[in-house]
Amino acid sequence: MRASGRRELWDGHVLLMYADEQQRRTGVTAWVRRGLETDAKIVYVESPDEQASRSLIRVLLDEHIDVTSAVSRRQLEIVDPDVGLGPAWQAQLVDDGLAAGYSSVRLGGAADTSCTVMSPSDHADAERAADELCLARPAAILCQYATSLPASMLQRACSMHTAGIRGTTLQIFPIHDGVALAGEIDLSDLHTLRSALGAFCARTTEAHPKFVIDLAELNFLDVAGARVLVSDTSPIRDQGVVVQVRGAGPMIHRLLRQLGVDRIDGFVLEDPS
Amino acid sequence: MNETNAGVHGCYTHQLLIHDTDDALVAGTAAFVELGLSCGGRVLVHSCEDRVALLRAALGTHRRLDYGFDRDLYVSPMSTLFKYERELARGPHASGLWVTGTVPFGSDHSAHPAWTRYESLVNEVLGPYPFHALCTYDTRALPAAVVGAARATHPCISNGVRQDDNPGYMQPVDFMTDPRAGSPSPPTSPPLAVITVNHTRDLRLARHLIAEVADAASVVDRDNIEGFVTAVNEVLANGLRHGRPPVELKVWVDTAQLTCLVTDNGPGIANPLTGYRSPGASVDSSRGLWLARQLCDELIIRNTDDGRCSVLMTIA
Repeated sequence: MRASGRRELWDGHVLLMYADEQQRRTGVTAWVRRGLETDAKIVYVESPDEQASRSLIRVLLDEHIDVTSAVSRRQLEIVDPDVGLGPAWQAQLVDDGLAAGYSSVRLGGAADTSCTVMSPSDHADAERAADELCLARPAAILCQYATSLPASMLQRACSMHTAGIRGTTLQIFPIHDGVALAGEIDLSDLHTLRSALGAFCARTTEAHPKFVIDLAELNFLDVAGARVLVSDTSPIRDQGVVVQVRGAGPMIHRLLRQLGVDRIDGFVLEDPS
Repeated sequence: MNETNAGVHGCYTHQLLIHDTDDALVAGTAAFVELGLSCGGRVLVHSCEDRVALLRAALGTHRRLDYGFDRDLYVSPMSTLFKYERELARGPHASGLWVTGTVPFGSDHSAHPAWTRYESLVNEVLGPYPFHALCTYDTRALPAAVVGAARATHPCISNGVRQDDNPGYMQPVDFMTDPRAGSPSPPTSPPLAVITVNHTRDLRLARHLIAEVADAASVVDRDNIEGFVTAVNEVLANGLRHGRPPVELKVWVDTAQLTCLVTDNGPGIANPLTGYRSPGASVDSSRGLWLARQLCDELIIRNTDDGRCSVLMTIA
């Protein structure tokens, strides 16, 4: 197995896609841990009505992260969504955090609740502002979406997260003419892979006759995942888009060949790097 | 060519020719090759160098007749089996692929059962194709146990002139549990590592465990280890999806071989030969097992009497 994937993908404007609660907890925990390790200010938006078992502090304690000192020195802060959450509030949060001496500011929350209460256009504005903030300032924003949400909503969400999408062991991020997959793909991330791949495929237009799937940072692929790469790109291949798989390591290349992926119409499997 | 043969040409045949002279070998092979060529098929004669020279001198050349050496074509039982399967699945061989020779049992007796099981599995895997084989067994060179087992793995026996149904033939699924098949059992020593897989998120831990212990303690080729990890992952995933968790993985490592045993409490895999035949376009779980079988030396499915299912996998 090759070196593990891009840890820094927990930075930037990241979308955590989860199929179940355990997957969500694992992702959120990793995101907070990354913030504590990098001496970042962490602000987490959570409704006071949130179920106790899903609340961030409970989750972190269950995952054996000692957050009491971080909370008492206000490095980790839980805020109520009623504060507004708008772009101006986000920018102020970053200013305050940096002024207090933190290396960066991390803002997280369950975005799937916000996108059900906000209008689609307001939600899109909020996500776009978040995206810009992460590109312009030392800020990281974590959104969380359940893979059970409607496909159209997930599609919008995927297109608005330029820093990528996280599953349990899989990371997906947009590249110039397609997507890059990093980490490992097995059954635990199948829902995430399907949602994200579908969303990125839907972004292809007639102006892009080619859709690249870059596997250079992918360390493991199972049969079910390989089948998704085929089945979930069939709509765009039917429209004449050529799907180009590049950067596959020797084992993944061997797997794809044995499954006959290289002989499928509209699929090009480049030789191993 | 006689009329009684005509009915079998379009479909699969797998004949056994037991001989103790070179003349009988040449005569039997010549008749088979002639039949294959006259039916319009592609014919392959394979053996060791000496035998190929002997047969080439007797049979001559033809544009649809190839000669090959076992060291190129019969590297391992599973790779050979799936190579034929791929070739037949891809090519439009309406007139069939005709293959004759001796499976390379070699001087290492411990390798014999794997090739004996190969002979039986040929019936399972290549049975749907227009594949024709004449397997020649020389009693001067082969141990009696190998020849005896061949009598259970070939549906037809040839005497060089005509073919008869073999009354001693056993269906592959039955033969695999016959003592003559020598199917491997799990090691009796305690495993080096045991891990329980309850959820799909545990799959990654299981893969990393195998890779780590294999790296530390084995001389197995790195590419083979990666393939083996993929195979075990498929079997574990299969256990989670179709069996009943917890799925238990045991790993044994010695210098020359990696062994894994995956056990779950589910109802088991009804057909222990699942995954040998190409799944084609089907989307069921057999595709994972089909791939796993190609990445292992052995993959033995057993449904135990106490209602558990176990899958034993090895790679050298």
